[in-house]
Amino acid sequence: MTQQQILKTRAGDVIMDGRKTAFLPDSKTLLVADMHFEKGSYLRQVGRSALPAFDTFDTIERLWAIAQDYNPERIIALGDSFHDIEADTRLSPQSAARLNELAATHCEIIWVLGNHDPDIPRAVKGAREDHVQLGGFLLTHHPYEPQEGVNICGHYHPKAKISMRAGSVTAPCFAISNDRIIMPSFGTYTGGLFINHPDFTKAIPGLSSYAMAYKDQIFGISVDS
Amino acid sequence: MRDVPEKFESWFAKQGWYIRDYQRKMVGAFHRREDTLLIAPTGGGKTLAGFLPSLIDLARKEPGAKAKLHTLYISPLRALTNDIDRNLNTPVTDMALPITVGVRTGDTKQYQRMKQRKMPPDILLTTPESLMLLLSYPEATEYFKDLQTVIVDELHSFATNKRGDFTALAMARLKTLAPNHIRFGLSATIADSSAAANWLGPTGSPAKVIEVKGDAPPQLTIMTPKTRYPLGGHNPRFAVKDIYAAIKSAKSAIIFVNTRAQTELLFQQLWQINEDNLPIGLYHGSLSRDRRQRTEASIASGDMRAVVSTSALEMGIDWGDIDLILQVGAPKGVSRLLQRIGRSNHRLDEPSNAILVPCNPLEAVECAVAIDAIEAGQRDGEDYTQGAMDVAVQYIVNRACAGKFKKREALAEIRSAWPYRNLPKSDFDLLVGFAQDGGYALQAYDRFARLKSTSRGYEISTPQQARRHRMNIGTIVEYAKLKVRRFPNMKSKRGRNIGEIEERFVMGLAPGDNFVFAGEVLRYHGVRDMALEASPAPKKSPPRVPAFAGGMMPLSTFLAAGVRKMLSQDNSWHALPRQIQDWLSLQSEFSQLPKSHGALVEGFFDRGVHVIVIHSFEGRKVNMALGLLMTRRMEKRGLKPLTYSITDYALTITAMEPVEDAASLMTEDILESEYAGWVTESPMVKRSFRKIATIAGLTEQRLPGAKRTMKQVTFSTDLIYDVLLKYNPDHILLRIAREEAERDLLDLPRLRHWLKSVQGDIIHKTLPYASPLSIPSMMQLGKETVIGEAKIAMLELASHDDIANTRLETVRDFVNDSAANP
Repeated sequence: MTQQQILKTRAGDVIMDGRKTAFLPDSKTLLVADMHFEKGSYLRQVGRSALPAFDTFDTIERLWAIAQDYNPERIIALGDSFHDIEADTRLSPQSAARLNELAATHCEIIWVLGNHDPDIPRAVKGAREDHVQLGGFLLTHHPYEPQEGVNICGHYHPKAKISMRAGSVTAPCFAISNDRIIMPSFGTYTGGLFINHPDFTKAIPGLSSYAMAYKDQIFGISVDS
Repeated sequence: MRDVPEKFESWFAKQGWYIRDYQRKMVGAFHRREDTLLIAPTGGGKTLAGFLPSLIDLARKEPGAKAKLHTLYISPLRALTNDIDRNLNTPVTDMALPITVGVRTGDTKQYQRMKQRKMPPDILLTTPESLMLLLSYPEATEYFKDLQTVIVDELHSFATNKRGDFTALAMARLKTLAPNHIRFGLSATIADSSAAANWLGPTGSPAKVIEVKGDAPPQLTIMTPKTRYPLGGHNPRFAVKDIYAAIKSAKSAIIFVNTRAQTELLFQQLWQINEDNLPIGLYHGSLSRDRRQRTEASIASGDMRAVVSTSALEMGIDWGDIDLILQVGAPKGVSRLLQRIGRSNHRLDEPSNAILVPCNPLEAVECAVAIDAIEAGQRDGEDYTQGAMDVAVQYIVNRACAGKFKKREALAEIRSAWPYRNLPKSDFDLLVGFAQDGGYALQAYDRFARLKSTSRGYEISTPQQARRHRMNIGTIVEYAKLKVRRFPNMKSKRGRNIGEIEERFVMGLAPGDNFVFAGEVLRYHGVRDMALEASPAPKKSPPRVPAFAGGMMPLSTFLAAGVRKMLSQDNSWHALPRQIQDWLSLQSEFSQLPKSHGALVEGFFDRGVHVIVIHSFEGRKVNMALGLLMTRRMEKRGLKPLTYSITDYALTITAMEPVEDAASLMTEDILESEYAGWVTESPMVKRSFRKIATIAGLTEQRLPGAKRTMKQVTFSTDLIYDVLLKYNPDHILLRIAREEAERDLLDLPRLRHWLKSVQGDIIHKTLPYASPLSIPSMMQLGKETVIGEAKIAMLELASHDDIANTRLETVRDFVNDSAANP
């Protein structure tokens, strides 16, 4: 029952958590990607779903629980934290308050901007950044070639499938190469893209392994070359 | 003058026919304005009987009168409407009747729709989905107001499913729009005519029944191939030579199989040995309209010697020259088999001719039982259920698209449809609430509501919502589909659409892979603009067969009981092929035969796992439910269950530990103690939630003009289910999903009844190997469901393998390094 797995990289340790987050122990930084807050309400707004949207609420509560376990000095959201530019108008005051409360009681929150959220709702506190350099780690939304060290990014929502004679399991995963880690998407209503999709050959050329996050546990699997 | 005009009498005579008694009775019923259900065997001029009164009435039409819709014909199949169109044209042309006939289905082109809307034909032929779409426009009030007759064809196929609920609601609406019209139902022979008559009439006034008996009994045989019967699976390869010989001996044949994948497979196999180049075609619902219509036409004209088909060709279609029907695979139900057989020699007085080709021993037994039942005049019973709630939601939104409605009137209208006669007001209120704003517990997003409540009633909130609803009308939930675009060669730029394929299948393909579609082997190039691009593959490359959804047909209860009985009595085996008799004798020597009561459980060790097979003979649903509950209990007892798989006849469970005492896993209390914990996390409930969510309009299957981009990676409805369960467990949709799963996917009532009946009568045989009877079930292994905990185990295994490999690499590196630097 592994809940975390330590990945040794040339920029230092990365703890991958089965709950689809990563922790950098050297800088006490919690990383989370692609939360897509207000995706549920977006689908309602454009008439593509009549579903009650509890996703923002759920995503925030899960982040809270993880933050309480790690007690990080900062949380860095690697972009696409909000589903669309108008999320501002739909974010409930309660949700904004809960996010700000997380920042107030625990740590600083840094919002790296993504393609879905070129701006972050005003009601939400925290710095807005294009990228963050933290020691040897270059933290971005889109993949970015690091000079040295390791790039950790989001955007692609990687998932993987294990097939055996008995059946198959699909789960979100961390996609890992020597100099890049693509984080799984964290948002409750986010889907995924299989890591054998052609897009990944560009996004992470030297894919060497992946770590699947299933039911809060993490399973490291290497890629046969 | 209440009879048939001279003109018609002489037309019948000219065809060499006479007007049958029941055809006259329908004319009488039309004049008396009586809702009437006509039950007649296939091929007796039933459809003409339905239309005759309308033709006579319309023949008297004043020339130049304003175009009004007189008769609406509802058919379950698109193919049927085209066929009826052809057949109606003959009398209309021959007698020079001033009657226009129009077809309105999903295949109808846009300009034709426009024309029909401006100038209604006298007779409109349609499907339930297209009818509902017509009813969603405000103009429906005007369009249908002069309606005289509604004809529901193949009523038996509607009466017991969601599509029937849907049709019943549409008919209820028509009754409001045109209160004076009457309903005619046409049906093949059914077990319970009074239930069908209730369904046809408005609630409280059942239709009158006219029942025609006395067709020549069909001649049925089981094919006895020279080759050996396979022990399991559904592949007809072993009999393909015999099938081909049968085709050659017939003038024209239809070969029915049970799934779309099987049509492709058998079609390939037949062409591989088609030395005489006989024109053999294939037909199934995934092919493009063009291809389907061409095949239909060439069967009608007699150019086709044989066609391999799914149930898509099963109903009503009138092709006189077919003289042989082959049923490949188990018939699954007596009524279904009769329906298929009825395709040949489409005349009442000549017997139909059919050969059954079972593909494994149990299917052979099933075939023999079905033949017995047909000879004895027995039929499967139909199970009339309460109207489905998700269909009601769709109807409410549909109603709102057409204009404002008051709740009280809408409820009365819905209740006038027989399946909804008992709909409680409290449930109706919940459904309207749900249609309005999703039944949201936190009233924070109500500005995105679908319905708007005004003092004058409910209406659709925005034109976009109406548009979106119209694109999603229907009750058949399908997997996302891609068009298949065929290019003559890889360099060509001009592709043609030849059909549709489920997206699931495409996900398993890599560029360069070959697959079978529309009867040819294609090479997959890629996906562009919601279409799969492919070109003919080089010869001799092994293809894959696509998985089409919705292939599984349930075994009727009636047949299941018959199979069990035949197995238990060796004096009834004479109806079976010799090979099958030997197989049963072997079972009886090695283990034992199942008895007509109680349950036989066989346990053995096979390829590293312990296997138990429970021979319940209770159908897939019961076996599925039993599998879910038993494996839960096994997990609790530390027996480490791995997988389970089901067939109509048996449940197979694999486990790490041997099961010593199967009876204690099958006590009645598993329904209570294991069920509660299971129900919320069950994949079955999730599955029914998925369907319900789509039908009720929560999520959609067809986005207007959408193509998938990376940003829109779909997230599964399962996620929504989990979240809803966590934050809004009382949501109406969760309740519906649970009720429906219990009834339709698992059949808990039947499981309860069965468990009770086998208590104290469970025989547990421990065997050294799989018994003959268990082998067909074993063949299912590998297609089974993995149990929750086992998924984790699989991941651990994959992960550990990985660690081991890494270790090995490390050792290798170390050895290499030391070799390099001694």
